Amino acid sequence: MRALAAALLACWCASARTAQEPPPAPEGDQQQKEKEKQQEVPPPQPAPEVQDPKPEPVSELVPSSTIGDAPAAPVAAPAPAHPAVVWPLSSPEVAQHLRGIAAAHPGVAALEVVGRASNGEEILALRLGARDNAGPRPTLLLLDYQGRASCGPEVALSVAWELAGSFERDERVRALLTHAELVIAPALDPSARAPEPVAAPVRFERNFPSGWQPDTIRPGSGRVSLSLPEARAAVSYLANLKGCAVLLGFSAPGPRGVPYAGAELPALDREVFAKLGAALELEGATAMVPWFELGSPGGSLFDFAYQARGIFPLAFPLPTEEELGAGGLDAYALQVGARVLQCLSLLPRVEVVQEGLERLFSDTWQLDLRIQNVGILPTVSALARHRGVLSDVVLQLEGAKLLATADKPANGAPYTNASLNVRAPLSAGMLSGGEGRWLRLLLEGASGAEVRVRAGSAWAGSDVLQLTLP
Amino acid sequence: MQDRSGNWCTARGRWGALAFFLAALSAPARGQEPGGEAPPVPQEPLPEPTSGAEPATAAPAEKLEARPPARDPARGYLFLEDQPALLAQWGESPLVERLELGTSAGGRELFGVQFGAAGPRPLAQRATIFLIGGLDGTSLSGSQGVVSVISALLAHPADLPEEAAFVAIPWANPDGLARWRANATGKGRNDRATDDDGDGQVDEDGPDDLDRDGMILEMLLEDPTGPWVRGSDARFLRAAQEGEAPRFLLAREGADDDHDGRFNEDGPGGVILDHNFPVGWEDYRGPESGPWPLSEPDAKALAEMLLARRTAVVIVFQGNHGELASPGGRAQARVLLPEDEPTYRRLVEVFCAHSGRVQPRAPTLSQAREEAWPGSLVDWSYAALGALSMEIGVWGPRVQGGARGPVDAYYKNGGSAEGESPAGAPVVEQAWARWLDDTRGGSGFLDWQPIQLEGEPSAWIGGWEPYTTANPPLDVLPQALHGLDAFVLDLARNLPHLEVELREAKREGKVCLLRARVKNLGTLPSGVGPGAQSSSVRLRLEITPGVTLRAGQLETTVGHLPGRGTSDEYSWLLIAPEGSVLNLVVESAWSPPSVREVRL
Repeated sequence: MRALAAALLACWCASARTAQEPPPAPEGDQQQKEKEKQQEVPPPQPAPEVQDPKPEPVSELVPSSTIGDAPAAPVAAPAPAHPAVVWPLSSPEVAQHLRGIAAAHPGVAALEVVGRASNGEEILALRLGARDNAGPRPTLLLLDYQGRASCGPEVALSVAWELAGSFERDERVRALLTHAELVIAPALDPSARAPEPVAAPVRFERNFPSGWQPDTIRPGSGRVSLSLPEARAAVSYLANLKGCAVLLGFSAPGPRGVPYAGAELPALDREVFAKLGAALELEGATAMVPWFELGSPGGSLFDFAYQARGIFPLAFPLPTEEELGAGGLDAYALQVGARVLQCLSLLPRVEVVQEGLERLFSDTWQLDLRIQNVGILPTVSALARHRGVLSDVVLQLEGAKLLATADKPANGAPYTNASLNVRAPLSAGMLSGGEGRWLRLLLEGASGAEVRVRAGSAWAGSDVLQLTLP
Repeated sequence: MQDRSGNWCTARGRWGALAFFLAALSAPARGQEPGGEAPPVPQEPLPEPTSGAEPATAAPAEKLEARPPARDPARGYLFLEDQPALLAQWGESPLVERLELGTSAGGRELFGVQFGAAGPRPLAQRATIFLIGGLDGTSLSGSQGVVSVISALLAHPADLPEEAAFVAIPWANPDGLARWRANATGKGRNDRATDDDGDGQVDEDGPDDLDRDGMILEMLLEDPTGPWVRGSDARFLRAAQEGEAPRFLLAREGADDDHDGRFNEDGPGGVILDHNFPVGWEDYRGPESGPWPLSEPDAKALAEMLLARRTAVVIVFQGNHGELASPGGRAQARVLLPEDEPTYRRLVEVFCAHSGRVQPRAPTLSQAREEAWPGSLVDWSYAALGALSMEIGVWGPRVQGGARGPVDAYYKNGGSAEGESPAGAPVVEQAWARWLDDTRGGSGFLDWQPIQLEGEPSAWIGGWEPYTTANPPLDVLPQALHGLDAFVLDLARNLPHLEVELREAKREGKVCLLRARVKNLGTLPSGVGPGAQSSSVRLRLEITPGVTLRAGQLETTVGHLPGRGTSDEYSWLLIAPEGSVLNLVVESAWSPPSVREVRL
């Protein structure tokens, strides 16, 4: 993974399209590879030379417009230079960039309104993913809510510009953004980005419900949680982002701590955090900080994301202001971009693979399936599963009648647990990263019948196996 | 009343008699059984307005007989449809104002009124006592408690202190209460449609009246992995130990409607409103606590109302523990400050004095309920608003038994949550069993009867009937309501009353010296809770043009004052022309401003 990330970084630095292997499938799954090959688009062409982005004042960005009336960018055309992203940006300038990306890349970018801030400003998010794939997909959220000391919004915008442009010229990015979505919400607390922000009595990062204490105990947290419209908007948006498994944010450099008393972290999830952190390691870059090392006293958005929704939050350590002032923003953006790409490839994704079909009687069939999570993240966190936030991987069958089921614990093992007591929908439970489940279905169906088996979960998207009974 | 020292003024005597009288009035006709859908409200002619303000001297019995409750209490608990008649009854008093609080998730009105004695200050600016009923969505008796307190207080308006306002919301969880009232299901959850079992469908597998006896009870399913076995008293279950069989799963009565192998795991209903408040809100309770705090419109409306007022006291009438419980819905997280414990212990004493109950402890919410009760209104209003907040369990296993009833075993270990008897049945279950056997002749529990369920080896239906443990049988309701009104009035009369005491005002030429202190003339403390800064007593000097302050603070945070307490002395040195008029103003989160004019 480390090598892959380094390769991604190199690839991006060169701004050239290179032929790379897709993220390795777990456990050397041959069928998986074959399937991916079928989905792959023609071999990569030499990359068009990318023009040096000409710095332009923000006011000269692509004017804001609705997504619908934006002119479609020509496919396979050379990537247009995008306006420079200069730190620090105000909230309106951030919004202008987001609108610009959506207008310039309608095939991959769509603007969403998260909510409205207390000053009336719209809080915007940008959804990056192939627009022609409307189905639910695994989702990665990249966000920031901090003030101008943080370059998180600027970096997120740089990543968005690059990815949106690369989608049209880089098959690998296109494949990633077809299977998954990246949602970028760079300024969830717009007022914090004001040139001279007013000290608010209630602070965004203390106003979320998980581990919240009233301001009689912790000043700045409010008399009720979610008293800030910005916090309410963020929570509501997050709750509706059903496919979001990982949240990436930014944190100031500094000593790490432990979460507030009462916060939960099952051992299984701690392992996932560790695996994710290792997979996102990048040479020369500071390690990412998992949620539980952020030392939150409670009441933060990250606390809510994990404790209430079971989403895995990690933070990029921010560079110091001196580092930024010395022109380190571009290098930092490159490293964030490489890790974002890497993270997209790690998201859980379910696939259904046919392993056998046998006719038992004239209209009775035995269909052997493997349900595989091809990501390294589980299809649901242990905490979310414990709290009933998300459902298991569920199978739905169309085109034939299900008579019985059986399963087997591993490849090569015999099928056991035969059951005639079939209940729909079938659950494949939770799949860890790279884990597969084997399922045998006894079906009743006529020759020529079109059978569809759909497997899906909120985090892992869905996959459909279609076959025609011989 | 007071907190740390001094004397509490109790309003016994006539109020005690009145309480007993209300109890007598509410007594149902013998032989009537509660339950089922109540018949329509009898159409009562609107009562004639009373002439003058004579109720203080009028015989309570006559007045109340002239204005009976809207619904014959023998036929059912009062509910939302009784509003018009209740308003007509209460509306005779010019002191009552109806509140617009919006609607529940299910579209039911969140009905509320405010009232108070006639006085110089508008109700909205007074120290406010909130009376909240049935927020848990199951305690119809809590709602009835609020209604009875309103009626009793309005019957004697001259007794109401003019510095206090009352906001009463009898059916604070109208969706949950409606479902509970209809068929004792839903655990008090509101009408928010939720996917409890994560199968993509909502509310598809709820309880059913399988044996068509008009009641939805409990169901035992024989299962070798089940956690329960039958106890020595075969009516009740106890935790199974290794090697014991047969074992059972316990579920509500109902079929596996969605054929997923589980019973009633996704029934109608969503959020329990009393888990939807911010302090101690627990992410992991799933749909019951809501997707986030105050996600539900009625919980939000309640919070907004409390935030908008000088919220001094919050009493939530609900629960079947029969006690006055202090803040603390999570066993591991202490909410109540040690310095407020004496106040709550004294509250328990006064409550017992009025209600005739014996309560040997001052439990927290989780202790009284024998389970965690996170995200409650009581915890939030205490911790965030500094209100004197409490839950009163109108009903409980010892309420009917009286002071030395047959269920003292319940308290042998202080009602601790881990208590199980040697026989294995939970102690609280035994307490209810004794109440059932010793006072109800065993009537109220249906023995387990076998029933055939498709695909299941063995199943039985039985358990507590409605209107036994969760809410009292109607004939016992008056006993459960006894003394609540007197307790509330006592609290209102003993709210803190802040005054500035001018100790010295002298002049030498243009130089003036002021010395003053703050006195709390009430017997309750000036505030409770952790909000020392936001809810504490503040003393402010208001000066006029031409006056300059040379020493002293224009505004001083005094902190909390105990009942009958006095603050330190504060001084100001001023340059003021002769005849200048200054104001010393004292106020707190609970108490409206009290102004002392000083002429120099």
